[in-house]
Amino acid sequence: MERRVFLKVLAAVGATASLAASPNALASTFSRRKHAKNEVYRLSQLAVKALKMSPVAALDQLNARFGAARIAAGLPKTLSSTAAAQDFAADRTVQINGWILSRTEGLLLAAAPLLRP
Amino acid sequence: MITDIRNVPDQDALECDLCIIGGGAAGISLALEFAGTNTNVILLESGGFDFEPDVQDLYIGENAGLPYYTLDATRLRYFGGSTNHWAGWCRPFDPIDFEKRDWVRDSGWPITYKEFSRYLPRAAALCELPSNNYDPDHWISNYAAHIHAETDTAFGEEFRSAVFQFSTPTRFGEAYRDRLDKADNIKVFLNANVFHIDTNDNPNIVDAVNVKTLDGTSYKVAPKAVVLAAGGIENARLLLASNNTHKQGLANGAGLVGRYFADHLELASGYILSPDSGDLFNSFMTSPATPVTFAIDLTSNAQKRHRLLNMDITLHSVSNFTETSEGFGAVRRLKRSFDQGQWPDNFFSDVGAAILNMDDVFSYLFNSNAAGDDSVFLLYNRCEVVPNPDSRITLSGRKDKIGMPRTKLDWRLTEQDYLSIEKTHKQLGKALGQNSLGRVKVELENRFKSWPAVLQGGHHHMGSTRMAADPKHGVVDANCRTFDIGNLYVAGSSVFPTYGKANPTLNLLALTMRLADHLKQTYG
Repeated sequence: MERRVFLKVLAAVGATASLAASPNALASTFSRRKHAKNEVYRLSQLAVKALKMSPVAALDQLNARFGAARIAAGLPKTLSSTAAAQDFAADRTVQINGWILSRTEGLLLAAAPLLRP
Repeated sequence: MITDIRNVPDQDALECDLCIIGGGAAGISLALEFAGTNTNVILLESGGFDFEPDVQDLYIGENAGLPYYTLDATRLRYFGGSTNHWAGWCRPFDPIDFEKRDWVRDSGWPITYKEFSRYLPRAAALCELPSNNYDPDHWISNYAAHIHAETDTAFGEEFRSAVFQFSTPTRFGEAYRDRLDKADNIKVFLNANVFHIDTNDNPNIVDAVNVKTLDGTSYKVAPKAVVLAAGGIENARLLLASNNTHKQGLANGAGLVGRYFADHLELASGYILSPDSGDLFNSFMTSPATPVTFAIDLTSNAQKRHRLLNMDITLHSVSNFTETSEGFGAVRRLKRSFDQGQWPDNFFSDVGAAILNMDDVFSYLFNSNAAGDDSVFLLYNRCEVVPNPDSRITLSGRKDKIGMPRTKLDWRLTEQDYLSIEKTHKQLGKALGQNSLGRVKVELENRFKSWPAVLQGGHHHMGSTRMAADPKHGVVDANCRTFDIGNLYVAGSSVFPTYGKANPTLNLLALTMRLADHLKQTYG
């Protein structure tokens, strides 16, 4: 997915899913840990350099650095649980690196490397 | 009375009404049912009261199919049988296990769950369980301080919680030895290895059971009826080896003896990540505060809706997890072999796997050490498998010390088995997400494109003398009597035609109680 298209998708998701999906809000998910914050920033730099990287590959990078468990653990707390639950109820799920996530979460996870803290 | 058969003069004729072959859970329980009756019973047990390597050696066999436990390590051959090392997990079959399901080949029983379940209280008593109650609400209300109130209802419609009870675990050889010894009408012969069952005078009636000791002394038992209760592998082996008059083996007119061998797949499959402190999921942890453990069950409605096999999931703290990664698994196998003083079976491939996957070895080591976080739980599955006629027990060309052909096991699984596991995890992920309980990480994807190098079964040997409504589809009828031989019966999990996901001991004991009632009516 090209970067421009991808960001449009991300914006649409953010608008329609009633998520607090502004970059700052999402970044706050990761800013709980200074270490994690730095890691995300560094990864985002990597991702920006390699815009051909697919969302899955971007998540792989995140996962490899500090574990998708820790990222996904934070998401349900900070994102709209309603949007995610609606996705699950409607069978809008994605499987990324083994994680069974709502489509909304999948998109946001994939976007994480593009965000600046 | 319990006697070492080596102290019996070999010219003695050993006559009885009922001859039981095998002194494990089924054989001992069946014999107890006749204590104090007018039925004269002989129980033939291959071993003595303790483990002896020379006797255990008779279990050695070949694995020709998927990787499986070595056949002399997956069971025990002395009085009490494999109850001498079982862990005591007990739960009954589900009603759906007895149904014919059009998405499960050769599924269904010739008896109903209702008929079967009548015998569960007697089976529970034999296992010394605290109760015959498996209703989650019962245990939640009785242990409210330790079990989350929503344990039974939190997962929505597709999943429910279910209860495992624990036997102490009862060692049947120790627990029931005195009662058998004091029964005047029961003779238990130890060190009595059955190697052939004869049908000399009438091809449809057993007239002798041949016994041999390890020092070569032979005996004959002349029974009115015989119950084969030697275990899920050995029952088939003995029928196949009894081929003097029936060249294909006894009770094998349809060629089904040994086929449909199955074990439950038991495997760690991934994780649940709980967004809160994990209180709900902590109710699923085995705890000394409660006599039960909860599992997450796929409901029968969900099985029907999604055409899935039966399965349950227990949860474990990640600090206790068994590996799910290839690299970590390789390291564990290497360590286990060296700890046992053995050269690893797959030394080079395991070393290679460890080196190539060093990242995940370190990752898992790190996670397991750092897992003070109670909100991450390991998923552990017990999975039904599809009845598969190509998964089978045959006789090896090699013979054991008493001249009996050894076992050759060709354990096989089907694509449906692993697709069902994968799909069930996706459903679990949906259920947890929809109910805001957390997220699921599945670690099956890469492992199941081909089956993992080392598969785990539950040591539950089932199906090789399956029960059916007619002789074209099974070895025994609804009363556990072989279709071909009028006075030959089979007890144990080898008669299970469909396997469910429940541990077999409690269930095979319920069937044994049912068989006992039938035998009392027929021969009492």
